[in-house]
Amino acid sequence: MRKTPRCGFSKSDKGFTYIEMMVALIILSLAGVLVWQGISTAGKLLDKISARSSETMRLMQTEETVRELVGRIKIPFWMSTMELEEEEGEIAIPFYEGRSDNLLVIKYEDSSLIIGTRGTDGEQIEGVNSFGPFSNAEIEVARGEEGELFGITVVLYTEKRPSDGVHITARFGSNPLWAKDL
Amino acid sequence: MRENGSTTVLILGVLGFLSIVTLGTYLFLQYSIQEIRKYETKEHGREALTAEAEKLVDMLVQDTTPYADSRLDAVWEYISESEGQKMRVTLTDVSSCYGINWVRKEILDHSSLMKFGKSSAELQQYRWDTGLHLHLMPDFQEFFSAGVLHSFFTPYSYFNINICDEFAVENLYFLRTGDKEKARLFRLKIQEYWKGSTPGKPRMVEPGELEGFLGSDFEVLFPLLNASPAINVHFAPEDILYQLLSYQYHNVPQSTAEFLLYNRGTQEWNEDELESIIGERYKSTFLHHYVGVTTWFWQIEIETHSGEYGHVSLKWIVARIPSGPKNSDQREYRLIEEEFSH
Repeated sequence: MRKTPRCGFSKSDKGFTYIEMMVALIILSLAGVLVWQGISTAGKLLDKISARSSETMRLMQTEETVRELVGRIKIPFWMSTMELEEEEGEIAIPFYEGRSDNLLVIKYEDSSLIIGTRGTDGEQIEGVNSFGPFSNAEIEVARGEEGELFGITVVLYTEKRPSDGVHITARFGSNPLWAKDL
Repeated sequence: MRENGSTTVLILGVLGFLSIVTLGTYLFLQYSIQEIRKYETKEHGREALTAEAEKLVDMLVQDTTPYADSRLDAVWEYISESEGQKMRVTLTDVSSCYGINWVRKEILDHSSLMKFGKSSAELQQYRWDTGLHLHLMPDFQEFFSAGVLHSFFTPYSYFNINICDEFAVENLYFLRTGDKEKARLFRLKIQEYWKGSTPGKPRMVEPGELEGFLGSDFEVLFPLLNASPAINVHFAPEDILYQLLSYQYHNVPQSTAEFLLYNRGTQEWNEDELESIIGERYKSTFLHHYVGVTTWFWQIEIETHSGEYGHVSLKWIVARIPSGPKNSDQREYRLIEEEFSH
């Protein structure tokens, strides 16, 4: 008995029918879309991880530098008052490396946190360390339970999470013993 | 050349590109993880060293002989036991030297410590012009060699009203109040008081008289300015002890100085015992304002090279709060300086 080929399918050696080709193309397209989706998702995930990781690294480096430089502020134990220069987004603290005429300047400018030193009479900031970009930063003095000044707090807002501030509190390298007005 | 081979090349290219991106990301993540671990290790190291330093301060507070600090105190036994352990602990009395901010001209002239061609009057003028200093070097290198500065002087010292250079007291008063005129008047008040001294009978302000002498300034100046002996006989450098005891107005026999130096490592004296060893000249001269039995500023250094934290070290300067009318029974230390390195 002669077998009748099913509609659209051929057992001939000459090649595929249109329907076979179409099915194959559809399967390949679906597989392609799935693979592309997978690669794209993986790519996005990697991007996200890289971005988060580099953000963490940037914050860590900023924290380390802020802590190190603020730690070099040594207010002599005999002091009772100290004049801080505070402006919007900027603070200048004297007694950097124990010297009253040497100021540590921390400021937020052009999406970057800038830390450096300058003399009491000078304008130019030296030894500049710049970190960023950040979407915003708040810089303020840190006080203890009794209101005593003990360091600096920097709140950094990253571009990825602009509403979620990261607090860095850095202690001065030394503090006065009996500072009523600080 | 087969034309349909271009698909394979394209796929290979995409795969190669993806591999490079993945490898780059992997390496970056590895680096990030390493850095984060390093940071965490450093923080754990800091915590461990801080806990050790706090333990030492607790031992100083709980000293069973609070009236005197000597090598017989329990903290020294703990330190010697910790030798060879993973943390190296060092405790140094940093206040039992001449206070660079207050040492008097006469003592400097007696000790001959200044550089050739420099006089104590020039040093007094320099201090008057520049105020109080927290650094020995380079601030005073014009007047002393580095070796002399580190062996004989300290910036960590309270100001005993009886032995301080009066201009240094004026500087201190000005720094505490910001009032230049009142500071000048305060210096004149001290100078006036000293004018009442007679030969062999100097006028001195004893701890119990300090509040009355200072009056309303007591609140501002005490305990930075006090009447407690500045230098601990148990830890002072030998040369300083010899210089102070042999100073013409103190005039203590050399045999007494030798007795003190020979026995101070194995004995602990309180102030009365020190008086009975030195004799009548201890209380009748300024000597009892220079030499006592208490250490006011300690330096604690803790260092570790362990594989756990790598090489980390912590340096603390802690100050003992002199007792006054309001805290006569309390024993308190405060951290005034901290330095962590890794």
